[in-house]
Amino acid sequence: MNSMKMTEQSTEQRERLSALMDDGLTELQARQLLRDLQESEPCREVWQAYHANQAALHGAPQVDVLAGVNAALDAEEAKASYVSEVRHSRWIGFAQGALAAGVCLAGILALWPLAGQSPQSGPDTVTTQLPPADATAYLPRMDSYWSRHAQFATVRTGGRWDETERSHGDDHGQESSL
Amino acid sequence: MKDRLWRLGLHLLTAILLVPGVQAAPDAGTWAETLLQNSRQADYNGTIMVLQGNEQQAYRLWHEGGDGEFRERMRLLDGPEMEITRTPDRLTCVHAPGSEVPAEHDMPASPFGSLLQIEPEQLQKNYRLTEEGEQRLAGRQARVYLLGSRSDSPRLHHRVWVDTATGVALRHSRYGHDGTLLTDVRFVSFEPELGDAPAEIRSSFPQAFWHQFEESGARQRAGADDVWQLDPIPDGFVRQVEEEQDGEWYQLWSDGLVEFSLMVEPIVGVAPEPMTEQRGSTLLMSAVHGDWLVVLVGDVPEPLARSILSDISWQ
Amino acid sequence: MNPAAVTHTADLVNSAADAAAPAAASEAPAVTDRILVARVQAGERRAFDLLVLRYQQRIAALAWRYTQNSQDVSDITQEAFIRAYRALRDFRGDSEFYTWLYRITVNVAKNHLAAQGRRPFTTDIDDPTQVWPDRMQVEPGPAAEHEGSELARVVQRAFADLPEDLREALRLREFEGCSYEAIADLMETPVGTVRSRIFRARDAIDRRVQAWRAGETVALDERD
Repeated sequence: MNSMKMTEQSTEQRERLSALMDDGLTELQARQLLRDLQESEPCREVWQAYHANQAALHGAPQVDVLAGVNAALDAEEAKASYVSEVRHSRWIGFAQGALAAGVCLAGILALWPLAGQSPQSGPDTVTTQLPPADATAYLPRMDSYWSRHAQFATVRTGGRWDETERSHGDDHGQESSL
Repeated sequence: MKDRLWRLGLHLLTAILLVPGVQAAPDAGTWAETLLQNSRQADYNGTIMVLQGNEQQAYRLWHEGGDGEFRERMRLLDGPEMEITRTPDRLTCVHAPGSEVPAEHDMPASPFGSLLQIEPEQLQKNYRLTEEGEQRLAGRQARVYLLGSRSDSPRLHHRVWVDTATGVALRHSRYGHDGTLLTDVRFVSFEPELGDAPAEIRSSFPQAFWHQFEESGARQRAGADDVWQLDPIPDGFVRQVEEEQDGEWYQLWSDGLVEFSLMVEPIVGVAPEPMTEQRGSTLLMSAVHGDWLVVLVGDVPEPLARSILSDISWQ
Repeated sequence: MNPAAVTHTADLVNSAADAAAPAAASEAPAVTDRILVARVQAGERRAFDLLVLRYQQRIAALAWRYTQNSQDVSDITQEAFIRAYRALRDFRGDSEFYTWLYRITVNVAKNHLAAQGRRPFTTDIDDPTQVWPDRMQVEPGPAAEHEGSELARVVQRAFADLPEDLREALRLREFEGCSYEAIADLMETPVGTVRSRIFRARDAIDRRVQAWRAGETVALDERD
């Protein structure tokens, strides 16, 4: 806790923060103070300190998981954002998960048109970035590319595998193609 | 320098792989034609183990040959209960009741899939076939062949064990350009007959959930060449498939034995980090070209993948 | 609030209001939570930070009772908030936010222990109205070797040293769960004064903590 920042908060502001902890403000006051809290780091530090002291008064363990929570949520959002972008790609199949390791590779594709995106590229602007040698972490978002490859690579005549039929509701037990 | 190192590695690998008693093999094209014909037309059954990187998967396989046709049943022995039936142009996945079935699921690959997609003419042009003698495998006598690329650029190496009595492929191992075993598909038991083939899939899994896939032609063929090109094309590879839609491309390239896919699409939003991922002998590598994401997936070693991704030129 | 929750500090304070019927904190309208939840649901991630800061210690206290292990406490607390954030879009406010978060934490803690083939230290903690756990140990010992036990000692000493009117106001609030209005009735003083006393008590404690963090521990040690 930075004591300079603490003192930067007026006594009145700190009293309101104390009251906010106890839901002791009117809704209007609470809304304004919460906005300050969201936007002011010194204000947040006072809030954090009061809560830490409160926990200590009760003999509770001290933790600070905010950074960890945010790192995890940032990573999730980045991934979701990427997946969302890729979903607009016509290359993605609706097959997202491998059914059995080493067996199921090829996605069965539903083609979605790209939503009007057409990045501008020209010979003068293209720079190539290749992965570093150790960039081997597993990324689930790449499943669609694996699927796409197997969909074509296992056809000898230059075609593709497409899903043409599946069981529905009560007609399970369909005869196989044999 | 890198090229010299690679050549040295290649020679070393060849020296390691070539055992005493190696003899000249039939030409690769004829060999491949015979292998394809036997592996498709014979009746056989057995248990297959697939090792892909650190992953293993076992299957029970029944293969019923025919004149130009074949019918195959495969049952997964590990993981969710599933059976797969396939003919040359149709494949059905049947899931046992109560088994774990994803709402949407992927198409299974055949364990010997890539071997059965061989293009004999291209294979002959691009690979040297060397016979390494005989070995006992899965209780059978097998003849061992090494397929090495004629190209100077890094490629995977393939070893194939062929049943001497039936001419059916019993094992296919893929090695990295440094000699590391990456993918190994092999029969651990083999009978040259249909054996206890289940009469009906229905009888195995009543009220199963199933998906059916069929082979079809590529949907559109349109010129990526006006926008981007792979130049130079890696030795021996020929473009098999090209599709384009809304400014995104898919291309499949083959050298007769292995394939790689190239997928090019515009980057929407934040550019993803280039990355690589290896699943057995198959590599996925992505690269960012300005506003475009280029993804390669295929049975090519990493140096070749990097070279291919670097050799895309933009008009 | 379970009166048992104050046993370890009740000895330090004047419990003049034992006979009063306090309004539990959980019964007060949780304006703060409601506003923050609505903001998070509207897409303001920073608002979730405030919910984390507001509840992380309570959630940690709950996790501690399950595991008695500092690393587990941190992992469970973090995971509980991550899950809460993911699920918050579907939170309809049918219960208080803390009650909802409490349930999430209990599930996370149970799963965490089950994944390690362990059993919880305590099974009788399915009471979300009990904001702070009872019998939290602050004396050094195998069961109290958690992060912050030293801070707890400093805070509780500061609490004990408060002027009586401040200490009593804070005690009623923190340990009896009384609303400002109930405290005003009990202490026969205006609500504004209650609010001021509680603030001054917290501020005085915080100044002691800051001094302690700055290394001014001699005076405190001498008291021991």
